[in-house]
Amino acid sequence: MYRYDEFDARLVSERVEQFARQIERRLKGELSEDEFKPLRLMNGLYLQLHAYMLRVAIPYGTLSSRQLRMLAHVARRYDKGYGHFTTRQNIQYHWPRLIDVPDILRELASVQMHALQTSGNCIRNVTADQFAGAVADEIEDPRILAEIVRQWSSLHPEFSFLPRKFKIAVSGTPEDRAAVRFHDIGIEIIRSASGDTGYRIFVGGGMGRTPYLGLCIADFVARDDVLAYLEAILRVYNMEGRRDNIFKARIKILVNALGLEEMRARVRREFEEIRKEGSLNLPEHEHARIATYFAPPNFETLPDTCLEFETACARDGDFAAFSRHNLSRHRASGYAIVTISLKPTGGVPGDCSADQMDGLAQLMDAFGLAEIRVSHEQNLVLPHVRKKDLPALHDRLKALGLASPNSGLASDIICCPGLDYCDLANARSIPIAQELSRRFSDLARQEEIGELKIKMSGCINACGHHHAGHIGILGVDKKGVEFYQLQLGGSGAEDAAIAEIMGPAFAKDEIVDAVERVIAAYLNLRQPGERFLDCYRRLGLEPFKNVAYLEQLHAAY
Amino acid sequence: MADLIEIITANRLRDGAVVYWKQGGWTVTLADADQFTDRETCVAALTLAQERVAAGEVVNPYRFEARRDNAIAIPVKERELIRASGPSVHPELGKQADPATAPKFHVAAPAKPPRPKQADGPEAFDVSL
Ligand code: HEM
Ligand code: SF4
Repeated sequence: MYRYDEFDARLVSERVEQFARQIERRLKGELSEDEFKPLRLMNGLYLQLHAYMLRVAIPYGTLSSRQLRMLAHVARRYDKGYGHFTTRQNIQYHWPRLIDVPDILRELASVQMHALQTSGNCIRNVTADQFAGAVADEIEDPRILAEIVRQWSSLHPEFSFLPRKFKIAVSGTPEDRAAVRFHDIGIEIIRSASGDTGYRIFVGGGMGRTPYLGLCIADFVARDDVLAYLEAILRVYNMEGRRDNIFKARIKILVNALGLEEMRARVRREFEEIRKEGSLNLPEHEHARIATYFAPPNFETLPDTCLEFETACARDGDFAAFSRHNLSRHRASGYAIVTISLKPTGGVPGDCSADQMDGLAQLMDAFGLAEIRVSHEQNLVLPHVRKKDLPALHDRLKALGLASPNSGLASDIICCPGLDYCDLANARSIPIAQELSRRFSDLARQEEIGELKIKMSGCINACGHHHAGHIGILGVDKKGVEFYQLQLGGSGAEDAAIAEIMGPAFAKDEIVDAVERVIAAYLNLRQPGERFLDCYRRLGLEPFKNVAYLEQLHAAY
Repeated sequence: MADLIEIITANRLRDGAVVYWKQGGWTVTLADADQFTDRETCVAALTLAQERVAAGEVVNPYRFEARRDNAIAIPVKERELIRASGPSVHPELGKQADPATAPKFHVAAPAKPPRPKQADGPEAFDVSL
């Protein structure tokens, strides 16, 4: 795992002390609110409906047990005993007091964590595939590049005042678990015909009020050129991106205004300039040095079939169900990747209590697991578990209330905080997700439905990725009353697509029924082997629209 | 009969808590807040409240509408109902959890209770193409 060098540590602690002084001056009235607000945001501190909200970065979603224990400690001591894991692999605390924030940041710094660049118009926490370093067909661990990008971009003077925030995601496999095409820059690690590792770069993806899929601006960027190429994109954006209108300030708007060809040509020109200077060349030894931080553990030589595992599957139905849905194939024989669902029936998607975090940290230590990951789907992942440990591990997860066997199923819903917490929200999102999860709680029913990604946001900002949902739900406000728009056919995976809006919004007591009818229609209409998304792609919106509005149509006659 | 009134609110700087204007100061309980029946008095009070921003007391004071029902102020918008209570998904947290600060109304549950499950699985629809 990456460890701070002395420089990083000093920088973080200087920033904490600086912010502590700024808070003090604000409380005394020496700083005005207008002066203070940007300083607070630069330190990841927002003001929400009920309280402040502190967003703590979890670079590329990787945590040690020690860091997880600290997150639990902060939740217990300074918050209300829980935290919320987000689609950007951060954790958010919903109740910190401003006067406690310096202490919180000092405690976090003691385990090399911080809240820098989790807000503001800078390069945000770089996200990566949560299965990094564990999954079988990976070309290169995406966290290596994510860390290189983090080091290059952190507090980079040219990138501290971009026209708007900037989000980068990296995937190391052809399967995309990082939603790369929904980011300002998405990077797919690829191998050329001649066997060299390099990067395919997508630019201009995003959610929000104008969703776009990222377009491929470079098919193959060589490894030592990658920082120069990224810097070239950012320079073009910094010069040409709009600063006059916040809604048109993201790079997606620039890319679509210029057109991909023109964007590519401009980036190319900058790239040649930067390459001439030579300062951003990434030498092989530097790449190798960073890579050592992400070296996989020494895997034992184990047979892939494991008696303990097979016996437990046969004996224990809960374990068998957990194994069917929450395990993924590991690159090392005898190992598995475990997804820990933070979506219990009727729970708040992404929420995790301090006791659960502590319990997980203990479990990690007990099973010799150095790392836990946060996924953009608001779940946790144990990347390297020996298959023979799985039955015992499952028992402990069960005791912690963390053994929901629903990864990738209908109740594994992404959901933003919505109007229960968020100052920008138009409608509540969590209660709708809870109701959906209760409606579909029966595992046999979920298994019959198969892979289904329901994603939900409480406003147009799309923090809950509704544009990328097989079924997306967006909360809207009609004269102070909550309504919900239904969208179908999105995907944040390698078959990325933007969901299509169905029509008029549903009232809050109609939306869950409408989703249920859409799913029932799918079960009726699908061909063998078709996921919901495939079925939608074959048939289009019409048949689903007809049933979704069925009851209103009846009521109208 | 319910009549429309206005209330002034803000978040307290030091901890972010939701507060309401009350006789030249702040209260954390909506039930104790000043209820303004005429716009002019309310706007004048808001000007005073805004001076408390520079002093480091509160952030972003504004006024919102409520219905008054038997002297109880019930905000018109969902947003203010939730601010006055706490997250609707966590009745054990926020103002609603403490009788001293709880509002005297409930935020409506947003979705219908689950329907009884049907014995023969999900409903079938006739969707002829
Ligand atoms: C609760 C406080 C939050 C605030 C104030 C907030 C604010 C925003 C805003 C203003 C945008 C739109 C940006 C733009 O279009 O330029 C946005 C987008 C986004 N936020 Fe949040 N957000 C919050 C919470 C979250 C949470 C909890 C998550 C994860 C679950 C999240 C993840 C995202 C993502 C993925 C996007 C879409 C990125 C894009 O525009 O392409 N945010 N947020
Ligand atoms: S989508 Fe809207 S409501 Fe949800 S967290 Fe983002 S800004 Fe808040």
